[in-house]
Amino acid sequence: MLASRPAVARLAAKAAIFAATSCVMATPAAAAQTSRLKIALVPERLGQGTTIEFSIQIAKVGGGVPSPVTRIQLLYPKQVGIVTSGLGLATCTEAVLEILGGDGCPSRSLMGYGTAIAEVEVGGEVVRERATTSIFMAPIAEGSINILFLVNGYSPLLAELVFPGLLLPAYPPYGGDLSIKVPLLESFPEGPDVALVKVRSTIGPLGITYYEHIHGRFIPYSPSGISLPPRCPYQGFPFKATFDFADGTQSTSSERVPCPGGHRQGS
Amino acid sequence: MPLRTAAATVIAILALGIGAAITSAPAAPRARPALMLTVTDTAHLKLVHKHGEYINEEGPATGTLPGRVKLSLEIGPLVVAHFTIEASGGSISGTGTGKPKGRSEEPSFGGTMTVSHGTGRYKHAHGHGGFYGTINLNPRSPRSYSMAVQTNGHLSY
Repeated sequence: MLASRPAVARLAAKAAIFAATSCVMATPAAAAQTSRLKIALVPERLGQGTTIEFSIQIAKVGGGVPSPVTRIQLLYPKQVGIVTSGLGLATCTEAVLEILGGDGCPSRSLMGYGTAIAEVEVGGEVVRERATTSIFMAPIAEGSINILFLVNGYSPLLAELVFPGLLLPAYPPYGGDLSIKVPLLESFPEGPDVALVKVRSTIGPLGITYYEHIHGRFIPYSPSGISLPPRCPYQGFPFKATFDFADGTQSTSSERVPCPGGHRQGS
Repeated sequence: MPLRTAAATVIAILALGIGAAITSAPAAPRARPALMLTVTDTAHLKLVHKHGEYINEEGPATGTLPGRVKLSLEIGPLVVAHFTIEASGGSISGTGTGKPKGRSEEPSFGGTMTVSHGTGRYKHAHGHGGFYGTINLNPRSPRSYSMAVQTNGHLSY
C-alpha cells in the first residue's frame, strides 16, 4: 500500500540500502514484546473540549529490535465524545492520500498528527527510521466509522504508508475501540520488516486549523475538540492498548488519566 | 361460491359460539385484550444538552402517536438512543440502536428499536421496529446537533 508520490526517491533509497546490506541475514522473530501506553488530555478540563495525546513504546524483552506490530487496538473511555467532537467533518480517501498526500485532503478531515520511530536490524546494527504521522477521517462505510493513517518516513528512508483503522463499539468502561491493522513494511526487498517502536500522536484540535467556506471565503477556525464529560468518571479516564505482533505474540498496556484536581469524581 | 358460503357459515357459527360464551360467562373483572398498533412516527429534534458523547434532544413527533419526544442519545461507533414519546394519555419509552452511514458531518443511521415500557394508557406498552434518522454533527452549523428521527413498527399496549 505504498504511495506513489515519492516513489522515485523511495526506490532509490531502498536500492541503496539493499545494495549496502544484501549480504545481511534477517534476525529470527522476537520472543516477546512489551508495550507502554501513556495518555494525556490537553487541556483536561471537565465539560470542555480536549485533545488526546498518546504515546506508545514497544520494546523486545531482553533488548534488540521487536517483532513488527500487525494490529493495534486502542480502547478509549465511554464518556469521551470523539464522534461528537467536530473533528473529521469532511473525509479523505486512501487514493487521495496515496497520490497527493495529506495536502490533498480537506482540512476538516484531519483529526490528529504526530511522529513515529521504527527500527530494523541491518548487519547487526539497528537502523532507526523516523516518520511523521497524520490521522484522517475516511468515508463511513458498511456502518463503521473509518479512519486513515498516513505515515511519512523521512530519514533514512523515504517511504509513505497509508493504512485504515476502524472505530468500533466497545464494552464499558470503554466507549470505543480504534482498531488498526498495520501492514508489514519491508526495509528492502527480501529484507526484514520494519518494526514500530515509538509513536507519539494526537487525536484532537491541538495545532489543527480547519477552514470553512462561507460566502466565497475560507474562514479558519479551531475545531472544538473531543468533549469531556462534566463529571470525572470513577477512578479517572481508562485507556487500553493491545498490540499484535508478527511473531504471534500480544502485549497489552493500560492507562488511567486521573481526574483533574479539585473535581469530584462521578460514578 | 359454495366454498365461500361454507366459510361464511363456519365464521358465523364461531362468532355465535364466542358470543354465547361471552354472554354466559360470569360477570367478573377481566384484563382487557392488548391493543395492537402499527406505528410510524417522525420527530424533528433540537439539542437540549450535550456532554461528552451524550446528547439530549427534544421535539415534536407526528404520525400514528403524535406527541413530544425526549431523546437521550449516545453517539459513538454505534448510535444508541433512549427515547420517551409523551403522547395523549400516557408515554412510551424504549431504546433504539443504529449504525452510522453517509457523510461524517451529517451521518444518517439505521437500526432497530424496542419499546420496553410506558405510562398511563400505555403502561403495558411493548413492541419493536425500525429506527432511522440523521444528525448534524457540525458544532458550527446553525442546525448543529439537530436530528430527524423516524420509527416504525408494532406496538402492543
